[in-house]
Amino acid sequence: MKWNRKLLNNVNWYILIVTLLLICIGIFAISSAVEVNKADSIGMQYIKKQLISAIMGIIVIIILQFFDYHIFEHFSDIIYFTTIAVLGIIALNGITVKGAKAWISLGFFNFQPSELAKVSLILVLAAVIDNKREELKYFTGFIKPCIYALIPFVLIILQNDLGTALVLLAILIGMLFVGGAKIRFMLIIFGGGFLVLLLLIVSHILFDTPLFFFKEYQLNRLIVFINPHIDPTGSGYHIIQSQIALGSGRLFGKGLFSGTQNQLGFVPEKHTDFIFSVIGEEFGFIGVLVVVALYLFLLWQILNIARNARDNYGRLVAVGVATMFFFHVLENIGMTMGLMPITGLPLPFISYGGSSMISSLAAIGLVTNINIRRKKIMF
Amino acid sequence: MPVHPHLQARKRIVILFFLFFLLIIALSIRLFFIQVVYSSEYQKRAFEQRTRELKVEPRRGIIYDRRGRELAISASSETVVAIPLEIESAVDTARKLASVLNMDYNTVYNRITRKASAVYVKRKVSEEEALAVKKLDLPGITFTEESKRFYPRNNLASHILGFAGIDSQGLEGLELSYDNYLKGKPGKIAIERDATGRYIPDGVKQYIAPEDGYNIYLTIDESIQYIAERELDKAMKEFQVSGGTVIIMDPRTGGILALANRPDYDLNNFADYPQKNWRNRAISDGFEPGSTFKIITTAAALEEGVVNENDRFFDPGHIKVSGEILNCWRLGGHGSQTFTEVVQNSCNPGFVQVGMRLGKESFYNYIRAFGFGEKTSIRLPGEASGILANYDAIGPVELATLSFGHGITVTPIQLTTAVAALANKGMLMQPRLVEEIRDHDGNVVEKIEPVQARQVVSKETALRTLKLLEKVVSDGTGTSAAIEGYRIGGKTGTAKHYGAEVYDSSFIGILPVDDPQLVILVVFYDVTGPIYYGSQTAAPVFRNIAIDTLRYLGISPKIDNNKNENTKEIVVPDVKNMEVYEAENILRKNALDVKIIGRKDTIIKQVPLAGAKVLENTTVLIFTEEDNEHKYYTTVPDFKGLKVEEAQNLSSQLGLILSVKGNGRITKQDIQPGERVPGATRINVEAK
Repeated sequence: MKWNRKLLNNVNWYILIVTLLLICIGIFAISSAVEVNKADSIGMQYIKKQLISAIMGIIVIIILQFFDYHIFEHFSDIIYFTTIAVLGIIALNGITVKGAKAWISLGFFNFQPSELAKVSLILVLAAVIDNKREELKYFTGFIKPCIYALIPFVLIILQNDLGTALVLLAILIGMLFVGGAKIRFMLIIFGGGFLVLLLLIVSHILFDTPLFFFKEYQLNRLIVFINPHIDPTGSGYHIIQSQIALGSGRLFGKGLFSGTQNQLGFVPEKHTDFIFSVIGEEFGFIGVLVVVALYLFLLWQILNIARNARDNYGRLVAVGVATMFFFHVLENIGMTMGLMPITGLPLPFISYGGSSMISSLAAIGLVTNINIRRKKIMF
Repeated sequence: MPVHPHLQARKRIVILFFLFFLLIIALSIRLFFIQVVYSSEYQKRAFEQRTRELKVEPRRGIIYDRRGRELAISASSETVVAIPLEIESAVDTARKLASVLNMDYNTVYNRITRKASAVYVKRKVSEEEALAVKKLDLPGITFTEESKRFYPRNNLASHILGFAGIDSQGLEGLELSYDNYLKGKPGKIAIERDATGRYIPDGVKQYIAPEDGYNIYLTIDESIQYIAERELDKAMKEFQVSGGTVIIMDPRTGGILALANRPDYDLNNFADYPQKNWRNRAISDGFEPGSTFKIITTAAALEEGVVNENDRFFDPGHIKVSGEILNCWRLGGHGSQTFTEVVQNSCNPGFVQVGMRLGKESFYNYIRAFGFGEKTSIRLPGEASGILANYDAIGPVELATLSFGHGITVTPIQLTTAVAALANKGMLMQPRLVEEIRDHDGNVVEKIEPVQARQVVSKETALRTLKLLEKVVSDGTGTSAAIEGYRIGGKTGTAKHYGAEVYDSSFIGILPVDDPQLVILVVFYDVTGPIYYGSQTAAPVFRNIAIDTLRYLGISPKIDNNKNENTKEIVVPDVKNMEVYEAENILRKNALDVKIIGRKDTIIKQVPLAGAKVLENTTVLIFTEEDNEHKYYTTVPDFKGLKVEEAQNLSSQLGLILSVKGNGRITKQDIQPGERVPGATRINVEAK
């Protein structure tokens, strides 16, 4: 369906408003985290970059609306192979940032292709699953999308980015589920995989066998998530400090720029991974409840769009996007409370980071696209 | 039937949403627990983490003498502090600091590399050291001010003052016992810091000012203390002794004007001295008082009325008690003497007889009443109570030795306090060191009033005892303590250590005796060598101290004219077979004192015998029953060599009936000298 001005009548403004609200909350939280209130702060640079990323993302949304989303189904092979090629190049030589080889320098801008890989995979998997809808009932048909996901999954693991790899897994599971895969197969593959992983870890701890997919520090993060007090100044430090920040915020918070744990530098990675702790400290339980409610509302709206999508492809894309956002939120917030291992996944729209912002907004653009083309236009 | 794919997908989307919903609600519940339910715990941890409480030291109180002269002060001094995070090169910094602060390199290195926000490198450094460190201008090395105790007079009054440790905590002496008053209350400062341990510029969250310690005013007089210590030092060189003690007390208040021991130590460098030098022997160590203790026997006996000044005793040089022979210090003894002379001569057999007359129960009670065997409550750490034998362990021999000051140990402060009671009209005062306590603004917080412990003997007895003691200095064993123009009472003491030629020698004096203002005790421990008697060692030192102290206090000499009042001689009348009341009348009319022994009415015998020539106020013992407790037994004198006439007179004075065979000088007696016999015992002698 080509562009038509009447399509605008179908726009779901709620999604856009909630997204903008989350970006605004993010801007405030980042300002406090980078201490723009202090005289010698270089924090304004962060705010500027974040705003520019948001604007770029919004432009992406607008551009996306002019194309029918089926174009992505049509070009899904190209998207898939391009993604794999880029991830492959990075796996070989990327810039290492905090243990993860995930960045590619574009000269003016360091871009993180794994962020975009998530969106790409959603588009590719939607096409694969949609094509093989009938075969999904059989194991061979079920395994095909899994193999499609496995290649980028391994490449991202090679970049030491466990978090993003897990997001891919979550997307795959969510989309297979809605696509009509048999629960039995899913349990065998994913449950079995989980058991194998568990065995690997246990045997590593007990018998010092190699970990294959894991690095030692990733395992440490896993262990401290179970008990941060094993190593309170080392690996457990993040979790303990984040919890203190959250807890000391209490019901109403300490107020913007008044979070002592944030402003005195006790909270680690506070403008990116642990931005939620800053919000919790400065805006209290009420504040975090608002953020959580906004996400929940956003997920509801996206899944609603999935429900009302014109076709199976659009439905699967929307479900993939919803699953991606959900997993980010669950993992990020869970991590700040010590319920999840530390993996470095950003909080969508709120955490500082251009790649994440642009790809998240692009995903919103896809969903909007599906929404406005949900039914035939009456002339 | 296959499910329609559209319917199945829609159903699964709803399931997916509920899954999302449930998990996010679960997260929120967890958030609720952290942020609402357990939030106070996290808030506390957040506060503890970002604030550091620093103690602000109060200034320790000053110790003044009774005239307001400073004996212990607190000066602020700098402490070198390292902030390990800010140090650039630990090796270099440690090397430089070690050389400037005169410390071991490894010690410094370990301290400045410790995982802490701040560590002490060296506390309370000297001004020169502080200046040198400041000149180095090392990053991460700063200073903090602490207060350091300083004793302007170094060794002076070291055992009274004691000292305070590096944290300004009292460790010895008054610094310890009055620590609660002196130390003050520390203040607090809570400073906010960031995650790297740096303090936030305006991060002071709370400041509670410290409360400075109270100042203490002592009864000690710095000048008198100085006199005492100077004379002690001289004596330590002059005599062969291991140590000495001087206590000077104002008997009217119990206030101690000076208290000094040797060996001593420098309060500013106490750690350089062996711990035995810290020991305050004046209160912590007992010694055998010997003859100085006879003052107590005398006062008790006078109070109980068992003896009068003019009562006659005989000392053949030894006395037999329960088969044991106790010797007089003087070979051959003092012969016949009045009680005044017994005190004057410090005659042991004389005192044994007096002690016997007192009896165990009564004497023991007086010893306790004078404060022996218990602490004086002087409020100095480490006070001893001396060793007083158990009441039940005292037999006749122990009673006898106790009466001349052996078989008991007393602390110098006990002895001074007891004798001071006699100088204070019989009222025992608690010894005091602290006059008053004031806060740093000069307001009196506590005034320590003199405390009367108890009236031990009557005022009259006290005065009579002092008179006897005055005789000791004017005519007896204590003449080396005499100072012209002053009336001084005193008593020497020399106690031999068991089984060794080592002595503890002492002198205790009261002056002026007619208006006592000072009691001075001088003790030397472990005296060896040719000069060891208290009269040769302690008495002259007492004299030197007394002269300067009297002059310092402005007590001027008095010329005393009526020195020798003559006492009349009286012939004892015969009261035998009379009724008691009748006899008492007659004797009192004849200016004689009376002591009745027994509970019956008729007198069966008297001592001295009728016809004996005695001095006025002599006690006549009248017996209505036999003296079953042997209290008033007479020591048999040595008649040999005396003319019959002299022997007759002596025996009638002592209450013995003499049967003489022959003329001339006496050559033989049937009861040996030193034996104790009942009054009116017949002694057969032969003369040629």
